[in-house]
Parts: sequence; structure tokens; C-alpha cells
Amino acid sequence: MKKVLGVTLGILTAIGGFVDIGDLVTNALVGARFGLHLAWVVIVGVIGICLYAEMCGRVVAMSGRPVFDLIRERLGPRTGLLTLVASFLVTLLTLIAEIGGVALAFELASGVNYLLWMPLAAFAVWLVIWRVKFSRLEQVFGLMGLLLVVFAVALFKLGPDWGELLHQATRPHPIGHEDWSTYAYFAIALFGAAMTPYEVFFFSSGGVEEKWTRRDLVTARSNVFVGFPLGGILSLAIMGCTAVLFLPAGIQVGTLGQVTLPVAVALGKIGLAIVLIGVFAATFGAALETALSCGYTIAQYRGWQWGKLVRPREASRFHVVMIVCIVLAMLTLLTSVDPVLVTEYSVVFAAMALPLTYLPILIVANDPDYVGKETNGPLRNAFGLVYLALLVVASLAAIPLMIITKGGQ
Amino acid sequence: MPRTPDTSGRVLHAQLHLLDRQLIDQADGHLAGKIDDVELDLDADPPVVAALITGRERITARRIAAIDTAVTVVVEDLDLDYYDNWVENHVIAKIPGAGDATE
Amino acid sequence: MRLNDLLGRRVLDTHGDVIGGVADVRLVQDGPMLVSMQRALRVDGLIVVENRATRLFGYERHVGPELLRRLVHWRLGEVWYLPWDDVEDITDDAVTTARSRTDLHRLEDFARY
Repeated sequence: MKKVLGVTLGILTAIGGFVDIGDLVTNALVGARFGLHLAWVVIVGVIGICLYAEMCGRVVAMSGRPVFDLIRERLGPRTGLLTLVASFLVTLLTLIAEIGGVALAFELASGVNYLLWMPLAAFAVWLVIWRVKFSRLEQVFGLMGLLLVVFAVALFKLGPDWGELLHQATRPHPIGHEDWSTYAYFAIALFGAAMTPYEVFFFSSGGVEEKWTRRDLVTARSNVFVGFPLGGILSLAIMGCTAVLFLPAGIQVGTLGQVTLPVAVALGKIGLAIVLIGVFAATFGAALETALSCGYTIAQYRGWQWGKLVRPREASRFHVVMIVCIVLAMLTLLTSVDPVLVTEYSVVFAAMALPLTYLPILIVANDPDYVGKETNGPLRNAFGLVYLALLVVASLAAIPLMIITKGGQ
Repeated sequence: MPRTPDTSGRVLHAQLHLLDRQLIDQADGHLAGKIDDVELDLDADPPVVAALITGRERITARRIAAIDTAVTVVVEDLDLDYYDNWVENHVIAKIPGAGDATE
Repeated sequence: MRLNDLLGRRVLDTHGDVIGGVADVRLVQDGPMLVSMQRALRVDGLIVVENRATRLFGYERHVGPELLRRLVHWRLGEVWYLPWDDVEDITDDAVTTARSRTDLHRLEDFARY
């Protein structure tokens, strides 16, 4: 049983990366507009994050150093600061969206307006971070978030034409009213979401929280290779559901209610209940992940004591940063800005943060001072460089495409 | 780290191995900031590293216990936790549960 | 003197021409014994790069990935090692040496890994 629970860090990280509130809506939206013609991007993204998360996990297990420590060390304080600002903003914007997402999940379940749930959601996120043991937090929300597998069950129940779905998945081009610019925009959005920086910050810091040593190399790897593919599968299931239900009718997806509709249609009230718990757990888990990552990034850049592995008073600045971020998030949301729209803007900062985040990881995973004999082999390095190039391309294209397509319209 | 064949001491590159490295307190393993600068005594014979600089604190070379992926130092009477202690006393300690371990 | 002041300084040869910039300082732990029963870190020499960048990313050693290492070295130009004995003077904004450019040893002669 312990072995099964031992991969919950990877699962929770993946949930925050692949099925947080922004991705839930984006995956559903993409399925409704493009069918499975963009499914390949999710697969490319899963491979990329697996590749780099494994490097991070290896570096943590062999040297105890988390990612942001390395970023400042290899890039220097000035470029490191640029990376910090960019990735911190992405993470903060996502945190805002997630707390909003938790409130939206409550609204769906209760009918009470999400703005009224907001302060409770924010407080609950803080309370869990303050009091709950890291491994407990990762187990509870990781496993509960897996309830989203109900999307896969619903997909089967909807009885789709699998041949048609496969036909779509193997043809990477836009369809219907869509053109190449919206296709490319969403491809970059999906790729950026799969490799979003806070995933590696959280995963590597989580490895330190879990006190990984070189004996935990296998654990680190199983976390990666179980967690992220599962996240990818959940993504694709959501995409498939809306592809089957909304694409033929030409209905566009924009609300959380529409995202969960396929499950209600296929599995009735029970399915809806399960998916709402899953959505709550996934967005709450993502809120925890992003809030903690806001703390991890700043603390690790500055060298402060951080982590839930020490008492809060021994990592005071770390906890204060998180409290400030959660309060900021709540205040922003109370202006009734659309939580999902907030993640759109984070694309801008993600563009800057992505290559700067992953370059030091690739460098350090090759450095015997850090990983001893476990340096990257030539195949890993080749893939690592390819993905680094892809990230640079995505970074350069993200903002122009966002302007051209007016945010994917 | 391995040595070069023609010297008998450990070889380091100051910027690579010292600058921006994490400092760790030898006494309790706590994180104590980053090395922001290194003070070199170039007038000495031979010229040596005199101290590590973090924030406003100066850590003399004799306090360096180990140089690895992080640098462990003997803190003793140095006040490397000044800002964290300030935040602890004025903010965090006022929240119930601040002293509870979550383990 | 502070390391951050030394890094990036121009290095002038005996003719007064700019050879490059200080990229890093090589330390060897064989100086005088300290109170802590460890030897002091002795300044052994300077790593000088032709194109005056200060980030080597650790690629003065032979670590991978190969492509990145080549890219960094291409950007840096020549990488030389200047032993401390060959450093003549440190002025307000430069480091001078009595040697000329052609006398310098390339860092590869001292590389590890």
C-alpha cells in the first residue's frame, strides 16, 4: 500500500499541471472546437514534462537541491531574478484562478454564487498548508483528484465512434471554422500548460519535503512515470468527451458547467457528484501546489529556510509569502474577474519563464557534482535539447499568436 | 570532486562553486541564505579567500565547514536569521499553531 | 577585494592590449591551515575569456550536453588560464599581466573530468 501511495507526489503535481481549472476548461474547449486534432500536443507535452521532471527528481535525490536553487546558481542573480519574476507571476496568476476554481466548484454543487464561497476557499487553502502534513496533503488531494478519471468512464459510456476519434487524432490540422493561427495558439497553450514551471518547482521541492536521498531514485522515477501520463490521460479524456458531445453540434465550451456536462449525460447524477468532487479536489490540489510554489520560488532564490518539513515559525518568511499571495488572490477574485480568463494572461509570463526554467535543469542534470554518476545519457540530452528548442519556439510564438487570435477567438 | 594531477589540494572555481550557493548552518542543518559575494584577500601571501558575504553578514573563512552542492558553515554567534526572526516574532508567532511540527 | 568586482574586469597584456575578461577565479585548497583545521582556499589564478562574458555555466569542465558546451565555448572565444604569479597588477578597472597573448595557456590544459 505504501508503494501505491508513494507516487502521490507525482500524481498531485500532474493534476496541478494537467487538470487544474485553466486546463479543465481549455481541454474541454479544444475538444469542442478541434475534436482530437490537437491530442498529439498533450502527448508531446507529457513526454516533455516526464523528461524534465525526472531530471529534477534525480537532482533532488542525489544532491538535495531543488530547482530554483539551481536556477539562481547557474544563471546568476540577475537572470535568475528575471526567471523568478516571470515564473512567480505565472504561478500567482494560476493560484488566483485555482482559488476561483474551488469557489466555482462549490457554486456548481450548491447553487450559491461563487463570490460568496471565495473567502472560505482561500482560507481553506491556507489552513491546509498551515496544518496538514505534506505527505497527507499530497495523498488526499492526489487520489481524490484522480476521481476525474470519471471523464474516461463517461467517454466509454457515450459510445463514441472510436475510428472517428482516431481519425481526428492522427490528423494534426485545424477543422471547420478554425484556421492555423488558432490551431497554433491552442497547441502552444496546451504545450505550455503541460510544461508549466510550477510543476517542476513543486515536484522538486516536494522531493525535498519527502526527504528523498539517492536510495529514492526509483521512487522519484515512478512518481514521474505514473503521475504525468495519468495527468495526460485525464486531459485527453476531457477532450474526448467534449469532442463527442459538443463538436458535432458546434457548441462552444466556456463554463465549468459545460465541462462537466458530458459526465452528467453519460453517468447521470452519480457521475455528476463524482466529477464535482474530482473538480474540487483537482482545483484545490492545484491551489495548494501553486500557493506552495509561490513560497518555494522566492524562498529558494533568496536562500531562506522553506518547507513544510520544519515548523512554520522556523520558515517564517516562506509562510508570510504564501499568506500574502493567498490574500492577494482572494482580493483579486473579489473584483469578480473571471477566474478562467486570468490563466490566459499567465501565458504571457510563461513564455518568458519556460526556457529560463528548463535550461539550468538540463545543465545540472549533466553535472557530476550534483548527480554523481547519474548524469544524463546522450539520448536524454538529445531529447532535452529538442524540448528546449520547442520551448523557445513556443515562447517566441506565444505572444504574437495571442495578439493575432485575440486570445484564441 | 576530483583533483588535477599537478596540485595536491581540492580545486574550485569561485564563481561556479561559491557564488549563489546555498548556505547551511552546520549546527542544525537549517538554510541560512545564499552566498552573495566572496571576499578575497589579494594582498596576503599567498592570496586567499577571506570571507563569504551574505546580505550584510560576513562569514570568515575559518567558519567554512564543507563545500558541496551547498556550503555548510559554522554559524555560532553570527546573526544570519535576523530578518526571518523579525518576521517570526511580528507575524508568524501570532498565528496559532506556528510552533507545531506537522510531522 | 570582492569577487563580484574582479569578475568581468578587462585583462590587459604586457603591451596594454585587451586580451579578454576575468570569467572566474581558480582556488586550490592548499593554503595556510586555518583554526578550523582546514586549509585556506588559495587563489591560484584567473580564468580569462576572450569575449568578456562572465557565465561559463560550468562548461570550462568537460560536462554535457555536448551541443550546449560547444555553443557556450563558441560564444566565449578563447578560454585561457592566467596563473596568479603572472598577474602583474590590479588597477581600478583592469588586471594587467606581464605576459603577452601568445604566451597564455589554454584552460583545456587544466580541465578536469
